[in-house]
Amino acid sequence: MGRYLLGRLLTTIPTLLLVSFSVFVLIRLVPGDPIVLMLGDAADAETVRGIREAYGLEEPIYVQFGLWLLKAISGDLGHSISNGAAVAPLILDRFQVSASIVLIAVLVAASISVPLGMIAAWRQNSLTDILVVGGATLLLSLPSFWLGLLLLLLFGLKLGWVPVVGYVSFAENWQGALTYILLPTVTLILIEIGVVTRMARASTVEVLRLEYITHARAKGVSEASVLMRHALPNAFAPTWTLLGLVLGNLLGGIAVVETVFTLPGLGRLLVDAIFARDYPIIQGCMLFTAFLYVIVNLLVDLCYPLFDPRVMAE
Amino acid sequence: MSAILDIAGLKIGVPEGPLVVDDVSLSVQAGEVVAVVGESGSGKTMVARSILGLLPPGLVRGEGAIRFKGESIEAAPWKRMRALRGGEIGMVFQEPMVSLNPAIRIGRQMEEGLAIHRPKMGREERRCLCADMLRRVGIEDAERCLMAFPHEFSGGMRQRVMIAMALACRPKLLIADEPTTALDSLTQREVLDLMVGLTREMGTAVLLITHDLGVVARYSQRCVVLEKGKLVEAGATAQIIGNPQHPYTQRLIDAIPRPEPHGGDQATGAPILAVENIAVSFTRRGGLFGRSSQMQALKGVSLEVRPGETVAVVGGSGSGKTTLGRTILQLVKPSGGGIAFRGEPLLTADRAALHRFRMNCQLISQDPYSSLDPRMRVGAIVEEALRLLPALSPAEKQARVTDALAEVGLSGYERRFPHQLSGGQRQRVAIARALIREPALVIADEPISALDMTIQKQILDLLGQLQRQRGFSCLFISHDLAAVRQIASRVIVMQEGLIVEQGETEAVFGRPRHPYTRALMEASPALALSSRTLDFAEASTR
Repeated sequence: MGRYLLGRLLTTIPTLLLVSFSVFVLIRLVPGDPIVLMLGDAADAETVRGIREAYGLEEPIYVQFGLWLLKAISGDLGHSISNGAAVAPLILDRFQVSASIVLIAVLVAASISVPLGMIAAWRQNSLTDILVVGGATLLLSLPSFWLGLLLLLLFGLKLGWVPVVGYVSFAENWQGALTYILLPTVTLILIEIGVVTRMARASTVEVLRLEYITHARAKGVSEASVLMRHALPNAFAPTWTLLGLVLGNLLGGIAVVETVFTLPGLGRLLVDAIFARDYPIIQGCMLFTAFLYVIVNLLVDLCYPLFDPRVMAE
Repeated sequence: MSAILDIAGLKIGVPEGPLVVDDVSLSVQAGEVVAVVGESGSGKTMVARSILGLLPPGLVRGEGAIRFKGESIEAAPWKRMRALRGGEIGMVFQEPMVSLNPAIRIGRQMEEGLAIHRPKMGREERRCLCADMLRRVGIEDAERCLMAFPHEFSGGMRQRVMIAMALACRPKLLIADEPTTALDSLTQREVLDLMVGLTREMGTAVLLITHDLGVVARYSQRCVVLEKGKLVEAGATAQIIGNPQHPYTQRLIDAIPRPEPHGGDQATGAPILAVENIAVSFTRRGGLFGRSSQMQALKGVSLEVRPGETVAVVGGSGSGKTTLGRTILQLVKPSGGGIAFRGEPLLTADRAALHRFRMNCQLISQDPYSSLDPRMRVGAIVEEALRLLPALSPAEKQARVTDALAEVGLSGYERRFPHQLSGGQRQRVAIARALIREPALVIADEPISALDMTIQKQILDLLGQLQRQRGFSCLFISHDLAAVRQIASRVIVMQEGLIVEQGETEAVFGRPRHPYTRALMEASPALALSSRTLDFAEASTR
């Protein structure tokens, strides 16, 4: 087990290096200079050059990358160009906001979608099935920003149940924090329910066709047990993989939702940094996101033998 | 004696559509083995499934009565049906590889039925009973088996588990739907002997669904023959096998391969294929952290095939016969030994020599459902073999394809897709594709084992006839001894990667020397049947 874990972690290193290097190069190819953006048009070329030198931006790109990498290995992701804040704590701080929303959303979405998908599959081609599939497809097709705006309009403005703009952290005031993250979480739940339900239904339909399900019925097993004991563990594996991908994706930033609800999350941080050409923050965010993705999917893979003992044998 | 199961005038079909089972009646007495015989599409499986109300979606039971111990169960309430399923009527399915839930330990799957039907039994008692049942089906290490997952077992072992599971609740009736079709003949014999022995001991009646007349003759007292959903003949097995009345039954019995005299035409001349002492080993990874281990699939095998002769390679699963065929075709790299084609060594051959070999050696594989590209038309599939012959004009190629298809009895099928053909027709396409290049050697790997009995006969006859016309050599890999006896002039018996016996077909079959050969022959129901029907035929002509 330990060897497997270590092997998996080691294989992530080239991925992370590649991601960092391409981000490093690509962001510098984008027109626009962080110092010019910071100082405004009035600054003369000499001052800009001076500050660029101070930030090490005049060095050749591979030297810049090497220096950044050396620091990054020791956990120092540098300081923001625009406001001088340390990047690593900033990312962790913003990540907490995104993660609390995403984790709750994925958990709730999964616990609604999996039973829903299984029931739809069990009653395949019935009215229930058609309604579930129709609903899921509808949710799947809604753009998240539009759904978010409509929810804000209804519950924030018309009904006034939740605040429209702002955020407080859980540490400060947890009841207040709940009211702020409620709508973004609901938006994400609704969007993800569409994807996960369809997946759960499709894999259950596959499993219910198999001979061991008929065999279970031939033993006199009740329909509830057929679904729970025989179909669920086998049908859940593909859904579990999907949940891992969804989670990895969302944790890396839900920029659109965060922008609509003006939440100080990781996605917003990245988008703002891109506009400001704040290289250290962009690099830090991307490295962190890639790392997160890898870790989440590793955890998902490690859980796989729980549903399918054959995986262990391979 | 009252009937355990009584089916009268059963009809099953698509709602407001065609019937797949039309007016079938049969009865099973206590302790009796009744066989339902038929080819694919005869509706035999649907009859079996409808008894427990387990028809696949899309099919419904129409008229007809099903009585179990006098109780009418065709419209039994849901709860009663569940009590019958597994409790009073056990079922064993065809495919052991997919009939056990891969995610649940065998012990839990076995106990599940007991927990439902014997609720008073304690956990410990249930576990003991399960272990005991496993021992009775010949699984030594029963305790370990209970904790294991299905993927840790071979097909034969899984089918034993299925039987143990079905019989644990001591049902009055066991429905066995092609229980051993997926197993090789030795395992088939063991599993069936065990199943019939155990049910006799417990007084359980058996409804045995099968397409194999050999199995019918060996194990059943009475049988029912179905053709396309209709009952064509029913009665005592000995009567039906010995003296079939209906033309369809006669065709079925006629399809049992019979030994043909191969005397006289001894193949002579330099061998076209010479395999010398080849060894093949596969590397197997042992578990997540285990060391990889070497598995010796072939341990030094030598054989020769002379021009125009058919050499059969027989053996149970795991004997290495398929690996041998693939190694000769250069699809598997041997770790030692040599292969020569027309005297030219192949393992050290340059590209040109290898090309000549491939042009002259063709493969007919086992599964006609996956060996043809589903997106290509039959004509294109057959023609593809000619694409490396630039000398031929498109019109000439077309003519060759037409001829090749006509020879296998598929004139006018050029524009069809494989999915529009039956299994037998697909295998004919595979034969046409193999023979259009006029190869000197054909390697046929279990070419008939996926087909129905009557179709098997047609394909065997076709192969024999084409071989007489064309004079190609054939390496016929099979576990079906009866078919081998009909088609091959020499036989090679393999066990665990070694040749244990070889010789002229009649010599090997007449006086088998190696115990493994004898075991294989005894296990082959069709072989036993073919000699029995021959005896009968001789008796009636006298």
